[in-house]
Amino acid sequence: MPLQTSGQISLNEIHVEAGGTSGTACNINESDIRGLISASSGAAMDFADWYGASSSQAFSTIKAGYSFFTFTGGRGSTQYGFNAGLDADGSAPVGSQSYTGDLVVGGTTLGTLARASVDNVAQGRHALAIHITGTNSNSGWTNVTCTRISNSAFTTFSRTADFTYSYADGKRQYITAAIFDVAESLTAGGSTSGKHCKFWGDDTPTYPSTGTDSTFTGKIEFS
Amino acid sequence: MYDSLTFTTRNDDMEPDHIWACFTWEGVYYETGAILDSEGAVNNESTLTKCKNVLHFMLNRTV
Repeated sequence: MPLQTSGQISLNEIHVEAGGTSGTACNINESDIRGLISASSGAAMDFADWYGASSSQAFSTIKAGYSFFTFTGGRGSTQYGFNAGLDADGSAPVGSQSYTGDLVVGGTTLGTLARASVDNVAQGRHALAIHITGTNSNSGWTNVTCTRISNSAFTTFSRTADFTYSYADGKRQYITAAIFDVAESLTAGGSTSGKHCKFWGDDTPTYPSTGTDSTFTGKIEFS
Repeated sequence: MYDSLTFTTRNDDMEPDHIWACFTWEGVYYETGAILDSEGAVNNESTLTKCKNVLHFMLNRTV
């Protein structure tokens, strides 16, 4: 829950918001406390800087697991596809994310991100799948933007216009339709051996290969 | 295929102009956008076809 936006604010309240235990020792220069307002170590800070600060966030960055593979398509053609992201299925590793707390959008708690992956679903087509833990509720956010951090390439998807919703295994599950690669909403690098996920995973792929990003390559943000 | 599938509709909580077609199949709940006619009313036949197509896609995807 965000800190208050006016009035007295105590160091203990800030500490608890940062994940500390109430009443335990802390100081204003601790990294988790500074982290709430993105202040650097030793910077001048005012208690008012923490007005409205929150440890919750509406985004996570992703170290993608990925697998690139070929398969035989129409008329014996060689087709290129991949599964990439957090908890990508197929043979891809599961990847990881920077933020494992509850995603919060405009004060509404969505739940934790369980999956954000772009997967091959048909010849020349991929789909974006997003799973969020929580109760059966197709609400709480309007758009989601997926971005590759290195080049800022992104696509924004609308919850209502772009996704089908389902609820199973305690997860809100969103999936787009099978989107043609030529639209470049989900993929980049052309239609052959350069094809890769627009948002995360290896952007200079080797076909076939499997791996996990060494750094956080992608970002997913709800609004 | 999916002959027993039926759907209900609801308006989205956040975007009330958007209408979801809602159905349950084999214990899993689904919502997909309803198809509207030129006057903004739900086209039941087209929406039912869409629900069946969506279900087929969901049940047959490998990932």
